[in-house]
Amino acid sequence: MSVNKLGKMAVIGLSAALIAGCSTTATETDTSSVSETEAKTVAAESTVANSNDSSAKANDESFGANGNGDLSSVIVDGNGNVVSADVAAAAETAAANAKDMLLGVAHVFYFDFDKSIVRPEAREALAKHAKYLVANPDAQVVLEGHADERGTREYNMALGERRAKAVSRYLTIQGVAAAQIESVSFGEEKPLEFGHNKSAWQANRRVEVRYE
Amino acid sequence: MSFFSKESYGLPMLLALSLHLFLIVVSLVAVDFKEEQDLRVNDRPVVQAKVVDISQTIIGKKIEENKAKVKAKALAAKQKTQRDKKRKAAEQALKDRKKQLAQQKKQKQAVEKKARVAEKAARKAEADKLQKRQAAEADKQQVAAKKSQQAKADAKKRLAQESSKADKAKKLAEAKKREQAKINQQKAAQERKRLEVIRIAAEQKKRQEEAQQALVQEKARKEALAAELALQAEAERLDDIAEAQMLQSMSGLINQRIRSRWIRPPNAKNGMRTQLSIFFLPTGEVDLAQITRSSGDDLFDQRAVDAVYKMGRIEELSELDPYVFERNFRQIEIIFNPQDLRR
Amino acid sequence: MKKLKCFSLGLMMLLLSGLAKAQLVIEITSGADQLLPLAVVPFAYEGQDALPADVAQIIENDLKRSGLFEAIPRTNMLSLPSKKEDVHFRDWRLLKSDYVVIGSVKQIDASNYEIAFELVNVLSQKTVEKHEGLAVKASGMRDAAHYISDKIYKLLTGVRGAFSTRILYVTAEGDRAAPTYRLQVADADGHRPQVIVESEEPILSPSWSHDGRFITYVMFRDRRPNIFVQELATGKRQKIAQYKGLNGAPAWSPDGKQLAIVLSKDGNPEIYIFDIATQKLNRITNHYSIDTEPSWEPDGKGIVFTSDRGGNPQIYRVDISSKAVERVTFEGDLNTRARMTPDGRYLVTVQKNDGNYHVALQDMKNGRVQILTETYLDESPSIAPNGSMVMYATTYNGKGILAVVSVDGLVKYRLPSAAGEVREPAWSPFFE
Repeated sequence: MSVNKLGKMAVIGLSAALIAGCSTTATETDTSSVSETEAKTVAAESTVANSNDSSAKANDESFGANGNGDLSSVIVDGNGNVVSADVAAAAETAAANAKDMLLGVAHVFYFDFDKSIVRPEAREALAKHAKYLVANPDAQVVLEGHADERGTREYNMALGERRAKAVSRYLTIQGVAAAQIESVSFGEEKPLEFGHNKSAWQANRRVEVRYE
Repeated sequence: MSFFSKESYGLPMLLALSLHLFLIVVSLVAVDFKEEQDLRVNDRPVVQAKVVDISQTIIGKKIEENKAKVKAKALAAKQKTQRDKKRKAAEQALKDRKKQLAQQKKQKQAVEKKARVAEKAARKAEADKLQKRQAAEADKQQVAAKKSQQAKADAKKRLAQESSKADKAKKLAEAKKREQAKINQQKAAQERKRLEVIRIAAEQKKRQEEAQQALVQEKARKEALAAELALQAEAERLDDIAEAQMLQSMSGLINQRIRSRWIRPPNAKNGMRTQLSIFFLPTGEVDLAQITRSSGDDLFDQRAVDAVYKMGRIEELSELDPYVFERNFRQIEIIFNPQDLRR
Repeated sequence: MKKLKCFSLGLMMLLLSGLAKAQLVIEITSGADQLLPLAVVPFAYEGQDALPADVAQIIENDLKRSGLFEAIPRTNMLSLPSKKEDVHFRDWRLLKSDYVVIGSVKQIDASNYEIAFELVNVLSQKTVEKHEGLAVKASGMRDAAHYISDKIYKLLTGVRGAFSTRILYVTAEGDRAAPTYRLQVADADGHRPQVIVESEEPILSPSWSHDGRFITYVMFRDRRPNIFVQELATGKRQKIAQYKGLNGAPAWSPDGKQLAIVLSKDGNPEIYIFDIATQKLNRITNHYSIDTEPSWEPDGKGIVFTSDRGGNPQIYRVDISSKAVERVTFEGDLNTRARMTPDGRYLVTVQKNDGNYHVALQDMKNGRVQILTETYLDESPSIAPNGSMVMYATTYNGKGILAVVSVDGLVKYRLPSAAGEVREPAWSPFFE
């Protein structure tokens, strides 16, 4: 057999193996909220990052999840000394209970037309919401999805719900318990802006995060 | 040790060698180590230009089509003008023929009149002659009668005057005279008869001549009639053509008038069929529209009838020759059969 | 021998008849796409009080709105007859009116009247229909006029009139950010509106039962959508769905025993059938995409619905017994909110093309699609029970209004504009 042929077959075989290994399980036709691989790779990174951070500072860049979605249990203080997990947790809860966590954090997230993908710029704020919810297991959040006026009302109800669910999924990935989240849709019934133009429509395609 | 014993290496070595040799030979001969000959494909030139026959391309075909269309149009126009010309010529010929016919008719009539008048005059002249002759004869007879009376009276007188002597002589002489007179009379009568015979013969001759003349005239008249009939037939043929054309244009007119007023009901479908009989008045108005065959749908039928009544008066019908109107348009049939509906 | 004689005689007659003069025959295969011109003469009135309603004007408006008639304006009428003997047919032919409606109203006492009317064919000068002595109450004068419109419509088109039907719709009035929502019912021409439900939270998707006695709708309570069923005559209301997630798009089955609804309690929006008697749910669709906006086929064997399982939302059909799903619409960028005409022949949807949302009509026999509207941001089409007209919501001068288009697309008109925004019309069935 020619070397060329063998080489080609080898490449093909290897690629197939790679692809099979990398294929996602997401099956939504409308591209899903956050790709799993991304989450995984991010998670892989964050285990390292987590161990360097314990306080609830604004420059927290962790997405908070390792392989099974648990927060890392190894906490190190500013001097690099390992601190007892319980002590650290208590300190954190105290800080978290002050709703400063959510001060200045966005409560409204916007979407592209006919899409329910969480935009990259929203992830930071959502992460903070996630953190808050994780820190406050009794807290209940309602995600209210909306759509712009175009299209029919009941379909827009479904579209609004899909957006709320996208945010909800994102939060659960961050560790929020499903029981804390309720997804509701208002469809096109409660617009923020009343124009019949692109900017009004953009303003209405949103999910609002509300704590009950 | 022997070559074939179990412990010697001879046989295995031989087998191994032969196997290897065999493989080498096979691989050299049967298996092709060369690369696939794909490179040969690239020997083709980069650009392949082909001379395109424009008449086969779409553009070329379109140009051809357009040319053909223009030609066809010109031809059609030409044909149309030719047809028009022909038609006009035919119409003109018809007119001329008609004129001719009329003229000939007139002439014939004049000739006949003259002949009649001449006949009358001839007959009158004859009658007069006859009368004159009869009158002359009557006179003659009267004169003769008078004469005989006078003669009788004279005779009596003479007898009375000449009684005895002269009586016999006179009687004889008178008898002689009487005889003479008789003879004279007889002669005169014979003469008269002779003249009569001559006259009758002359009259007979005349009558014969007249009869002959009449025959000749008859012949002439018949020939004239035949010619006339032939002309009439020709005129009728042209009339038929004209009438057929008129029928076609009138049908088209009526069709268009009704079509533009026929509002179909919502449930009408292609293929439904209503037939109406329409009765026109010579003024061109619709006298009556009757359903001869229903479509099965009363509403569909009613809309058809409405369309006919909405047509109003067709002036062109009132301008037709009454006989033509009567023959063709007193009653016509109209079939409503939509083919243009979407349903 | 006799037989032979008869036969030969018959044969001869046949031959002779064939020799009879050929008649001119004209065949007409196309016609005029026109409105039928008709004149509705103001009814003569005999009574002391002012006429409760201009019956002739209501009839004229009804017939004009149906998209099949053209009315001769009153100002053009040369005379105003109320009896056939007073009709000068030549006058009406001059006005190019094919038919004329004449009538009279007589007051009997303070609340009782008597109406007579006659439909006359101007072309044949014959009476098509005549009614006398219709007893009417003052409050029912409009209904009487619609009754007469129905009769005339049926006589002149063969189709049952839908002028005595009603419409449901939702209005939003007041502060736009926090309006008051009202579910209302009115005559099909928009007159005599009555409020059925009022709420500070949204109301949507109203729908009639097939006998017109019950309605169903979605109303938000505590910021979550619930589905209600209400009896119109008594106002009695029952909540039939309040699950987690979506509760929406309720649609009555033709036999009135079930409601198709949309729930997302099992993960994503799916269609369920709710049995009113047993209160049991039967899941009909099972797909990870959005399945919503169900509507029953007239024979009750299938449901058409909106699904984006193919990418963009289109209309699909599910067979109720086998649950088999097949796609129904293939044109336009997307199709949503399908409704079928009562004869099952046409499907009305909201279709998007080049960014515009219009009401579209699809012929189920040959697949032909026709766009019916040219207005802006059209939605919620609802079909009249005689299948001749479609009412829908649209925007006009920046405001939400209701409009009507005939199924053949020829006639369009807007309903009298109510205060605030109007949306979600639902055309009632025939009231038997």
